Amino acid sequence: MKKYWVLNVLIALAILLAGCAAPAATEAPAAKPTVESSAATADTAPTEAPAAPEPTADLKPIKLGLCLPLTGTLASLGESYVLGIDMAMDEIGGMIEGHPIEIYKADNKANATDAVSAVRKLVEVDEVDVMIGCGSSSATLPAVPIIDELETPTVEASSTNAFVYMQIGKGGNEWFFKINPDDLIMGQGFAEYIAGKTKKIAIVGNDNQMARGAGVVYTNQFKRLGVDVVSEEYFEGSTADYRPVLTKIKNSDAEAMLVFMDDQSCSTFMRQKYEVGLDLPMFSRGSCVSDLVNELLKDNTKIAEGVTEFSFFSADQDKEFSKKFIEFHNKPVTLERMSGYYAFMYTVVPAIKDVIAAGKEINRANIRDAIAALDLDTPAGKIKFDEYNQGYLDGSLEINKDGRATVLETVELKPVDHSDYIVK
Amino acid sequence: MKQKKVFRITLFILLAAFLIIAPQVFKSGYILNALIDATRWTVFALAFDLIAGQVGQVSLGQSVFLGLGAYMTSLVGSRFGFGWFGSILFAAVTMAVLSLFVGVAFFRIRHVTFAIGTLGFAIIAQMVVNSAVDITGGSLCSLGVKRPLLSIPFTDIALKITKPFQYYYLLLPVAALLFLLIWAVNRSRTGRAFIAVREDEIRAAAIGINPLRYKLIAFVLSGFVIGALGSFQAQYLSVVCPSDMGLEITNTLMIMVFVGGVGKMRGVIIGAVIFSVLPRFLEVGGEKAIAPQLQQMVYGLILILVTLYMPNGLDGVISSLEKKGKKSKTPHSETVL
Amino acid sequence: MSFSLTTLMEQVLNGLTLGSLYALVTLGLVLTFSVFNVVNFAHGDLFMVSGYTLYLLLNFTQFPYWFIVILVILLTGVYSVIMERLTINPILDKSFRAHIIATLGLSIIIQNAAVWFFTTDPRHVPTIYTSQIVTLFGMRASVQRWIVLAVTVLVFIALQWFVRYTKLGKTMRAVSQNQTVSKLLGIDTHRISIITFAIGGAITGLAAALVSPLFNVYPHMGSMLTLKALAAIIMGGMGQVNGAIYASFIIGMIESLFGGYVSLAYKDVAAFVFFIAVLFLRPNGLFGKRIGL
Repeated sequence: MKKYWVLNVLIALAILLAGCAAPAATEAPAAKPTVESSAATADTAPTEAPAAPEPTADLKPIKLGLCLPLTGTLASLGESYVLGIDMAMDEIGGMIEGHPIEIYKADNKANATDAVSAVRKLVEVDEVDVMIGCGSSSATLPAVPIIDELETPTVEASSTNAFVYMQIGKGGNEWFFKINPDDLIMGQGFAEYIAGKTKKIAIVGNDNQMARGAGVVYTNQFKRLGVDVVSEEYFEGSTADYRPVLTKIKNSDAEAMLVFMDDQSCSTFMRQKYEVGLDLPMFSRGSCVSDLVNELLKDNTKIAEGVTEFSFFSADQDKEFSKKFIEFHNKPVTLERMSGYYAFMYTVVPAIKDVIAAGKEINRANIRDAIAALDLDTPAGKIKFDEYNQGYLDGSLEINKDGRATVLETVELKPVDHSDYIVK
Repeated sequence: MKQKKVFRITLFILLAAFLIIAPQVFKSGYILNALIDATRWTVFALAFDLIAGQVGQVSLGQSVFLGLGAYMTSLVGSRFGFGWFGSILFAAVTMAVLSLFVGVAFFRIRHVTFAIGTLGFAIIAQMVVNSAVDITGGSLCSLGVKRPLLSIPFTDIALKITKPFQYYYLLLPVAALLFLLIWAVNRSRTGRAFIAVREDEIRAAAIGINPLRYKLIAFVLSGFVIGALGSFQAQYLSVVCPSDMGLEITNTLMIMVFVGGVGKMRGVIIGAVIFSVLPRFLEVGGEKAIAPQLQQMVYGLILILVTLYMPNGLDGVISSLEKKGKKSKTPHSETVL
Repeated sequence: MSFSLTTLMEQVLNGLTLGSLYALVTLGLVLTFSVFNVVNFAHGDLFMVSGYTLYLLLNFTQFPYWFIVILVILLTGVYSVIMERLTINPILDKSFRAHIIATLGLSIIIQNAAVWFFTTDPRHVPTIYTSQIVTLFGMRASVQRWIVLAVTVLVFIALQWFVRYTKLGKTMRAVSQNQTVSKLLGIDTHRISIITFAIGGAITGLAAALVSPLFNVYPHMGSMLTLKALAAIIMGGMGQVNGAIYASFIIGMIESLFGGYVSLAYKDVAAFVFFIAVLFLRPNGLFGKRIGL
């Protein structure tokens, strides 16, 4: 037995190396200016974009870094961003004004340690010109000071934590931009809308930064508006059984529900709500009215009927994008998938185009200045940053009817005083 | 034998010299960050090995002490101005005390039950931290950690630590002290008692070694070291989140310790360095970089292959190569896995 | 909120259905655990793979649901045997640490492979029974949920009969009591190992085929289920099939009552605190038999 020792180790190493080398070998050469397409997109290879001019060899490539959770429990968030960026890359033929785009990814695993390493890797090793990320607040918050130190423009498009606002732009970090509104910015209008419909409400949400942050904002607003919060409950992401809390709400005097959930939890939640026979009006700030949820509930459209949600990046706002996305990826549209697309297509790309048009060198500082100066109208609202580097997309009030999300109203969002939301 | 000793000492000095001058060689913050991570993980893995390797009980709850040590710094140390070293000491001591209680409770059970019980403890701790929003900030994270201020003796100058190389030099002496602490204990009478307890508790008791006492010593020492590391991490990242005590951390520890060679300091160090630096290499290279899922799958495969073919880990491989070189016929040391 | 008896009744029934779900998942694990004393951290992932099998069969074949359930049961039995051959059997006579590490490695591989093939998108596997609501004993629940409850009871009874009265069942009990002696008595423990894992896998397949239509199928769905199943097994008294089932129902009941009356966020905490309290107060498990080795 003993003499096979070395042999066994060699076998183990060989397998390990094979595992490592195989994908590297089959991967496209480094110059290929596209993101690796996922299996679902095999039939629409991004390289076959027709009208795009050939990348000229002497034009400097532009390096884009993605700091996103790619493995672990939040992997779907990072994956969604990448899907949106994949499609955008295909649309522009993998280049901006002849400059090929190289994409570098770093997995922040949605935790602080890996987020710091991911940002440093992208900036110092890959030497990216601009970044998109970091997706979740547990990765964004520790990354903000590092991004400031390393002076690299970064665009974030999905986190809604109101505490980030006072840390960026005038608040300290001039390099970090947020194109989507946070909970405080969205909260006021929607809270008033709900207060017009009900005076007793039960709040239920995922136990994550999105829901907890929204919970703080909405309970404050409801206090001001005289709405009685009957109960406020949060659950772990792995929870699959909501019947206890649904039964509790059914037997309480709540007249409506406000939920903060991701697509996955919300579809199960609504299914069980229907099962328990709880038919209170349901309001949502999260992802309860989305193509993915409707896909998951398509066997019974009654389940999600009448749910009203206030959000940004809803599929119905940008019908052209939605149609193209479904064709391209054969997957339903979600908020995060639009986030990735908008961060790239409507923020990074026009900023770089502006830099080139102005005849300036493509570097981090110039890209930052160009992002800060952006003033764009997109189907989902304006991209124009205030002094805190915060953009104001439109909010959209949507309702679910017959298994489809329909926009009731598009709401122009305005700056809100964030002085109560400072990190002490 | 003497030659071997000289060789070892030379190696040790070279390694120490490398660690001290590294920031002068590598200017990149990324590499320094990787060095900081490797140093932290090495000490962390050694502390985990005190229980898993030396006294032979697999605790799946050690990530809790890292996370709570970090929270101690964010919620107490920084808030009451303990200073950077005071915070580390405070976190280490509180985690040692907590370990004592946890140890007294959990060492009533053994082996599989102990492993799953401590795993349950880790789950509870993480969920409580996540849900106790009023105290910890929950998933919104705790943000109040101050950057370390290093006052230079005999002057009024206080240096604010922000750059990776500064952190590196702050970590190095702390890590060295903790390392020496573990090393000294493992080599002492206490360390031999650990092994007696691991091999056979009843026999150990028969020769006058109280198994519970030695298991507790290992557990408390481990908690002390991990608490200190947690505090350093909080000050380095200046934010503490519930994910800092997640189960993934325990998974990484297991890979480092068991692939390196459980119960052998040399193996654990090799394992920790490889598995904290290797992922950093694998992620470099843009589109040619290996997909993270595939990396994880390779790790899983390595774990299985190690249990099947290398029960003593990389350390065992090195030992057998050394033995082969000497043509010695002594049988290989006892199989740990 | 005022206390009402009907609410309490409803919460108790919620606890029962949740408990039956846990019990069905636990059954597959406790069988292999009791016979060979192997902690299998990849058990929940077997459940997940089985869930994806159901998803594929429901979406890409025209078979009726009952036939698909049978297919899933058979296939999961096969998966389980493959897992046993490749990973578990070679480590059977190693220490518990080897069991933990090898099965943890297996779990990492399976979960990441699932992400690789299916991405992290949740999938739903609706059956005709998920939207049909029936009220029994004053509780509204889908037919699917009632099926889970009924099948748990049936499987439980069938297993009792199998272990007590069939030759194979008796052999398995013998192996579980002492592997070495069983070998001496001429029992082919390798064959028993394969059979045990096949049966355990089949039950897991049944569980996945019935339970996953109530929820979504996604790559990390198995992790928490494994942990709860392990807690139930230990609480039930290491490897006692009946004890593990009762413990599963207790966990379901605690979660339901705690979630309904105290706090949803802390319901899992409550379940695990109870688990640890049992470890300390009754180290032999709730239902006797020695524990700790």
